[in-house]
Formats: sequence, structure tokens, C-alpha cells
Amino acid sequence: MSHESLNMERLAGRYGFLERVGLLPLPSEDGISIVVELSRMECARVCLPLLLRHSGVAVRIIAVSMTPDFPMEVLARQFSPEEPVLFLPYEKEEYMPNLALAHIETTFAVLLEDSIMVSPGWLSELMWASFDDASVRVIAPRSSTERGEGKKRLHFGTHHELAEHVSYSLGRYQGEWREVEVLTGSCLLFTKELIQRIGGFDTSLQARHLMIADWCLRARQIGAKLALSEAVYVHAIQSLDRYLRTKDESKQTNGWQTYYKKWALESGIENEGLLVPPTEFLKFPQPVIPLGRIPLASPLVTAIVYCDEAWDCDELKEQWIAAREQQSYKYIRWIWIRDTLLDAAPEFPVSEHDVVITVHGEDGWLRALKNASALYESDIILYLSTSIQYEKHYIERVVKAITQGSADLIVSLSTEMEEAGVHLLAGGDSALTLPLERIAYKGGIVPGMISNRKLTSRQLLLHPNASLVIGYIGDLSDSKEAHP
Amino acid sequence: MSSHRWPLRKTAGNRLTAMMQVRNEAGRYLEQVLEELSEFVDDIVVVDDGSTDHTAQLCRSFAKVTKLVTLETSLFNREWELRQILWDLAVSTNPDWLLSVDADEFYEETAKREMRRLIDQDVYDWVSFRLFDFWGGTTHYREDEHWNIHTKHTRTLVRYLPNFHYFFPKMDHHVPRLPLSYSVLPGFLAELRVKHYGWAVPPEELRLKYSRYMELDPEGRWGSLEQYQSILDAQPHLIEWKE
Amino acid sequence: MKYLILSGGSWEDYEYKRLLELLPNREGVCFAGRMTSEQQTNNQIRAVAAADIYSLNMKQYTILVSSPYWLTEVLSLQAAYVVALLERCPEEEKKWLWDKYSGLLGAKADLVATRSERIYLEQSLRREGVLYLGGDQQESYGATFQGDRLYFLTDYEVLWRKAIVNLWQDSTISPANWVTIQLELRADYYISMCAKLPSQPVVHYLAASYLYLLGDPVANRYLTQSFELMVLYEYLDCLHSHFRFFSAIEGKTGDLETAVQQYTITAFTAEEKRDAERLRGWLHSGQYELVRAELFRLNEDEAAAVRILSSLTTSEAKLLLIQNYIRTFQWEKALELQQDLEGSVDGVIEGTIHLLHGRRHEAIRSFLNAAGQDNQAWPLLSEMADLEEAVKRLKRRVEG
Repeated sequence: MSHESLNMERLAGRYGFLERVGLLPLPSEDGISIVVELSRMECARVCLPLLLRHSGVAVRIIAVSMTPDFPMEVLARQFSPEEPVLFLPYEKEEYMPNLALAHIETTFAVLLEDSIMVSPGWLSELMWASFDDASVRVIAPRSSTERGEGKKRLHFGTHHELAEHVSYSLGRYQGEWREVEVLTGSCLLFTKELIQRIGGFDTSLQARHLMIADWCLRARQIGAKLALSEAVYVHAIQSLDRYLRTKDESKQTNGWQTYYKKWALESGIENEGLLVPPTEFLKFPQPVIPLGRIPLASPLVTAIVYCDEAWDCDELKEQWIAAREQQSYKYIRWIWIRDTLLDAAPEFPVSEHDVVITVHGEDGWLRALKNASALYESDIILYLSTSIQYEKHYIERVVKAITQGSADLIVSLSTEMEEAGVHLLAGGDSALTLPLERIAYKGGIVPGMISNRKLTSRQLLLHPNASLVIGYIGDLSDSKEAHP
Repeated sequence: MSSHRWPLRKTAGNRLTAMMQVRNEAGRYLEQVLEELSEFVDDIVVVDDGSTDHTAQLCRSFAKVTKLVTLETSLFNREWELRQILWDLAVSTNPDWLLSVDADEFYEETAKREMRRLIDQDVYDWVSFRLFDFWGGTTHYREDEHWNIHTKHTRTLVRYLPNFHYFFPKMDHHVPRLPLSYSVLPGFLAELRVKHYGWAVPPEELRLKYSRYMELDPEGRWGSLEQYQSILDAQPHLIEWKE
Repeated sequence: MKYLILSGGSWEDYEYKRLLELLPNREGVCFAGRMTSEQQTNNQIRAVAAADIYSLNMKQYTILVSSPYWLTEVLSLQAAYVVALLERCPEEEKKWLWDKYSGLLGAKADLVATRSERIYLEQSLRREGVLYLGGDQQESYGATFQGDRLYFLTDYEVLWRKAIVNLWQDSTISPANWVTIQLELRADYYISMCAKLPSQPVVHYLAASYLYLLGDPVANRYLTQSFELMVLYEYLDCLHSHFRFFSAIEGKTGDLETAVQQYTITAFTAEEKRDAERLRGWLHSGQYELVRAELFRLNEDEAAAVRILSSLTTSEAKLLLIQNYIRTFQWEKALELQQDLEGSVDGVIEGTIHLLHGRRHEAIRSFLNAAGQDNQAWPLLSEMADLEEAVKRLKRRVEG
């Protein structure tokens, strides 16, 4: 064995040891949120303490009641107020996990049922997969609740035996995971960014495992990979209640029908059957399921950037790019509209996730500007011009204004402003035109018509639809561009 | 029709119903069989397995044939189905006792006389007889290693019990003529004889029969090739029949 | 709840240690017999000499007894509850004696639990509240902290805890649905085995048995399969073992007249024919409950028969009830009824009861009465001696 590979082995061994004995922190700065679905009291009262004990320090639990009669108050009494457990009581019209997902503020999150029993070392090993491969956004451990390769049916007499088994498995298979086509189980780790992109669970599918599978397929549609950990096993406690013969079979069947229709699968392939459609069907995007009534902490923004002047000065270009990087708001998808007629620069400084639309000529350019907003299903769309230097918190303020107010469309009167509220314009002025580079609006609405103001150069205007509620932020006295 | 009868096992006044499946038997022994049956049974039910001659008319000409069903297409290769149809037909007449007869079987005189005594009791639910394969004519029967059915007993007479469970094994050939489930009920092995004239035919017909068997079952899946072969024996071992 | 363990041998040989760890509301556990102090500390169990168990306040205790030869003690201790852990006869014991006293113990207990599936089925046909300490599920069905240890429970361990807690509860409020759960588990298991082994008559028969206990008419389908397979395989002696069972299923879920006919098909001996006649008579006179009860008894489901008969008031019903009580070892009840109805009692039964209550002289007198003139007392008296021997052996093993 070469010197180098021997060293690598040793380092790996040392690292693995530190991990397993819990001396290494979780690879996430902002900790992790664990959403627990509460439906069985006798399991919940064991599940929650285990999670607190074995998930590391920076854990925050959001426990949701899945049924109206779950004795949440009794369970809550088990925990002191200092312990990081938040209880969300049952709400009739909501699907509780969707509601809980909206509460997530950490980069990573876990969703699991209260029948899941964990043991030391379960969590960090799962998290690492997304660092091994950036496109992995959903990771599941093996358990009896997964299907196919992930399914592992075991019984242990005590938690100690479980911990020993998992410890052995971690020792042997640490770092090993594999990509899978779908996941369906009771324990999933995923990124917050993912839920912002694809939303929550589709309750029309009724059965939990179908909702999870559907969600995973939607994740794959936006390019996320699903991973199954070889090393981690969590222990799911089954229920004897189904043996009381109060099975509601019809409900199950309906869920399957809906699932098959949604994913264009042939029905008749029952229970152990196919969950994954052929790859070509994954191309048809499925709608985003919104998360509960509580507004998202961080809605997704599409920023459409255009040059209305020749952008050939390198310095200016660098400044703009730098300013963009400094924007305080982070959940942005950037779309660049580039007219090669105007801008002959060969390279365009974009990052990996950006989209560049290259057109030739003004007509194409205008069309692209109009249609670009449909590329992503975002909550907020805004336009930016490269001829303007936007201040650091510009986007953040705009987002806040849109999400907290009732306006469909916001104009920011100056690019620099203090914290100010949104003022609504008196509506119905059909002659109103607004500078495009100051516009932001809610996803899903049609803002209006875009036109070019000047004949000789480009300065874009928006003619907003009369039906929209328009607001503005910033001081009127600052306004240079707005036309009241 | 009530399926609940009391007593279950009558010791007197039992009706005897004969059941037969036939196929192109006109011109052979059928008429004689029906004549003799008419003497000692109360009813006869028949399933005509797609006969192309006047077998059906022949059957209908006998007063005691109370039920006759003609199948459009022969079920010869699906023996289980054929047996089931005949059984269902027979059972639909709510019989006391059933006698399964082939179109070339004759009960000896003693057997005919004993019939009533055999069925008017409540100790056993079926009777088996000794069947003899007559060979080449109606005077001698054959006995050798392939032809010895008379050394065993063949169950042909059964009591119908409405709530018993009846079934035939789902095979295409060699399906017993009566439901297998009778084996668990008590029965009587009678030393009474039945004459089978199916092989009591001239050599040309024996050869025809042989060809037919070889055509249907060239690999000997349903029967022994050696036994088929023995049909052609020039000097079979025959024993004279004594009444 | 406090628990007292009356085992079949030494602490080392005790086979239910894990079940002890899982006892619900475990306030204190005593073991009648010898344990080292280390064993007592490790297991949190207090050893009590067999002679000293009478000093315990038994009204606060549930007894867990795993040998039938403790029966005399169990009867005299009068604990709050008795759980009988029934086992197959060990090699060194006399089978007929073991089976008889196991039967009596099972009848006396508030809850019967067993690791043997055969005994489970047998007991389920004799009484309510029988728990099978086994299963074929690969997963865990419960989780519980006992002290500082977290246990994961198998399906039957969950039901073990439920069944014991159920003892202390009012049965009208919380019915023992754990029994149903377990029957369903067994039925499901055998149904899946039938799919895997379509030509195996035994698994079909077992599926039918459990479905029958659940009162599910689908039992018919599986019994039919089993019966046909038996016939196809030429196990022809199945008229009584297999076909007769149809009459019980029909009696529970279907048409009574059909059931009686089905029984009658299997009636050949003089006694069977008499029973068949009697059934027909009751059928025609509209005494359907008697018909049902007898059909169950003739199919060895005495528990079902008792359920029906104990709510009837006619003397005919009571006479039948006595028979069923005797067959299910509920001998004190049988005796009481006999006294009421007939004035005289069965000497063997009476004698055994005396014996169990420690009344030796009365026992001997009853046995002699029962035996009559022709010296038949010897087997009964010899039984007394055998029992005493067995009890002595037990005590020796327990004290180590």
C-alpha cells in the first residue's frame, strides 16, 4: 500500500472514530430542525427524548399533532421550557407537516414519524451525503418503513442492542450511501432550500408513503438527487391497531389512483408496485404545494437582469457582480437576458445556478424579458438593470414589502432607503407607467406590458395591469423616476 | 327444493338414480344398457358429450331418462369439467342414491337383485363392485398384468348427502367418475360383479382403439404405453365368465 | 402492582425472565424459592422461601405461576389475580397428571399465557383470555422505559402488558380486544403461509381455525382447501378431524340446519347418532341456543358452549353446562350446579377439589365413594400419591 493511501486510511479512521463517539459537531452552522409527526403517545414519549439525546446539541424539534385527540399537553409536560421542543397543536384544515415545514429556519431539516427510534450517530452521517454530492438534497436511513432496497426489518430487545447494531453498521459502512429513484419512509433528511422550491406534501394522495414518494419525485424533477444511507438504520415501531380490523381500505385505493394518474403510471400494479415513472415523465413539472398558511420565512425570488446600455466597461461589470454577491437576501434565482447585438462581450460572469438567455435584437430581448418570469415558479419576481447599483439590502426590503403587504406589485422609489412601510397607490390609473428596474411583483400574476421608453436607447417601462394593487416603498421626496 | 332432509340416511324407500355420460354410443351397447337399467333403477340422467349420431334420441326414447343434457362441443379433453357437469345434473334431481354407469357396463343378475338391500341402510355411504374387462366378446374377460381391474374394487354406487363437500381433482384425464371426497365416508366393498363390454369387440376395432389412444397420448402421459401396446396382443390371457 | 412468581424450577432455569422485566406497574416482584443476593439485586427481585409466601399480603399481589403443582397454594393464597403460564409436559413428569392439573390451573387462572401454540389453541377453545407468547412478526410493536432501560417489544410482549393491565380494569369499559388482535395476527400469518404453501393441508387448517375463532365465515374457504388436500393426499381419516369442523363454522356464522346436517354426516357410533337426533329434535322445537351450544361442544369448542349456556335458565341447558364445565376443568362450578340440579355429585371431581384445597380425608372419602365396590379406588388414591410426589419434587427444584 502506498504511503499516501495509508495516510488517507489512517485519517479516515481517525475521523470516523471522532464522528462515531460524537466528538464532531454537525456539519451545519445553524443546527437542524426535526419535525415529528405525533400520532401514538406511547411511541412519542420515547421518540422525543431519544431525538434530544442522540442528535447533537444544535437540534430543534417541532412536534405536530396529527390527530385532534392526541394528548399534546400531557406530552409537553414531559419537557422543560428550556428544552428546544416546539409543540404545534392539531389544526383541522391543515396538513400538519406542511405547516411545520413552514417553520423551518435551519439549512437542514428532518421529517419523521413518532414511531421512529434513533440511536447515537444517526444524524451527522445522514447529513454528510449532501456534502459529498451537492445535488443530494434528500437522504433517508434504512428502516422497515422504506421500500425496496431501503427496507430493513429487524427487532431488538432493547435500545442498547439497537445502538450496538447501528454502531457496528456505522463502523463498517460509514460514508457509504447510494442514489435511489424514490423514497417512501418515515424518516427523511432534506434541505430547507428544497422545500422552498417544491413546497410541501400533496394531501390528495392520502397515504403517507405516497405523499413522500410524490414529494421525492418532485424533488428529482428540479434536479435533486435522493440518497439512501448504507450505514444508518433507524428503528420503526409498528402498530397493532390495524389488527383490530377497522381498516379503511377504500381510502388507500383512492390515494393510489390519484398517484398513478399524477405520474402517468399504469394502474393495476398494486401495493408492492411501481412508484417510479419512466424517466421521461419526470420532465413534466408538477405543481408546487404551498406550505401552510404561515408565510414562508424565505420566499424564492427570481431576479431578471438586463442591460439597457452597452456594458462593456470591465470595471463597472466587476462592481455590479460584486454588488450582486453582497445582496443580503440569498434565495434568488438569477436570469440574465443578454442581447448579443448590444453586448458583444464573449464571457458572461454568471454562477452555476444562473440562467442566461441570449437573444439578438430588441424584439427578442423584450419578449425574453416578458417570458423569463415563467422559468421558475417563484414567489417574487423582480427586474434589475445593470446600469443601476442596488444597495445591499434592496432585494431583502422588497421581499419583505411584498410578503407582508397586500400589494401585488411594488415599486421602490429609490434604491437606497431606510426601513419604510409600503404605501399603496390609489388604484385604477390606467395611464400609469413605472420604471422596470424598480419593479417587483408576486409570482403568479401578470404584471403588465413592457415597453421601451426611448427611441434611441433602452429604458424600459412597465405599464401595469389596471386590476393590480400597487404599492411603493421609499420616500416620495426621493423619487426621481416614479410617475404618480 | 329443500336441501335439508331428515333423516339424512334413510333405511327404506331410497330412490336409485343412474347417471351416465355418453358419446356416439348408438349402435353399440347403449340401448341394452338403458333397457337393463330401466328394470332396477328409478331414474336415469344423461349428459351427451357432443354426440354426432342419434345417441341423444336413443336416450330420450327411454321413459326413465328424466334428464338429458347435450353439450354442443365435446369436453372429452377436459374430463374434470365433464364429470362436474354430470354430477351437478344428477344432484339437481335431489337423489337418494346415485349409480354411475358407463354406456357399456352391465350389472350381473345378483347385483341387480341386491341393489335395494345395498341402499336401504344407514351404515355406509357408498358401494364398490368388481369390474370385469371382457375381451373380444361377451364370454370371456381378460386377466394379466395390465388387465386386472377386477382384482380391485371400483366405486360406482353412492349415497347423496346434500351438505357434504364434493369435489373432483382438476385434471384433464383419469378423473374418477364420482367425487373423490367419498373416500372419507364409510363404504362397502361388495363381491358383486359388473361386466364391462368396452373391449368386447373384434380385433379390427381393438386396433382402432389402439390407434386412437396412441394419437391422443403418444408419450403415455395419461396411461401406460405398455398397456396401450397390450391392446394388440394376439393371444391375451382370457378367463371364461361364469354366472 | 406487586407480583409473586411461582416457578417450575430454580431461578436459573426460569424461562420468563424477560417477561418479568416488562411487567407493567412493577412495584415489587417476589420469587418463591432461592436466589443469590447478586441475582436479587441484578433483577430487582426479592427471594422468598416457599414456606414464607403466606406472610405476604396477597390481596396486593398478582401471581405468575408456571407449574400446575402449585395449584394447592394458588387456591389457598387467594391473591388478587392469577396468571397461569402453561407449558407442555416436561419429560420427567407424568403426562396425564400434568395435563389434568394444568387443565385445572388454566381454569382457575384469570389469565392464561403459553409459549406453545398447541396449548394456545386448546385453551382458546376452553376459556376466554388466552395469550400466545410467540409470534412471527419480524418487527417491534412497542417501546417502553422500564427503570432507566428502554425496551423494544415484540407483538406478544405488547399484548402481555395489555393483558395484565386489562386484568385490573373493569371489563365492561375496556373489553379485552388484545385477544382479537392476537387471533388476527395468527390468522394473517397462516393465510400468508397458505399463499406460500398452497398444497399444505395443515396451514390451511390452522388458518381456518383462527378465522373460526374470529367468527369469520372465510374460515370455510380454508377448511375446504384443507379437506380437499387431505383427500387428495389420501389421508382418508379426516371425516371427524376435518369435515366435522364445518358444522362448527356453520354454527357460528351460517345456517344452523346446515350445521346440524353436516354434523349428522359424521355421526356413526351409537352415541354420535344419539347426539345427532337430539340436535334435530331441538332444531325442530326451536331451541336454537341449545343446538348451537351442543354443536360447539361436539366440536370441542367448550368455551363457546359455555358462553351460550351460562345465560340460559332451563335445566336442560344447565345439565349441558355441567358437562362443559367438567370438560373445561371448571370443576367447582360443575359441582355447584350438580348439587343444585341432581342432588348428587361426581365423586372424582369432588375428591379432586377436596385434594386441591388440602382436605385429604374428604378427598379420600369422595374417591372411595366414586370408586364403588370394585376396587376402582386404587387409581384415584394412587393419583393422590403421585400428586404429592410431584409437589415435593417441585419444591425441591425451586429451593435449589
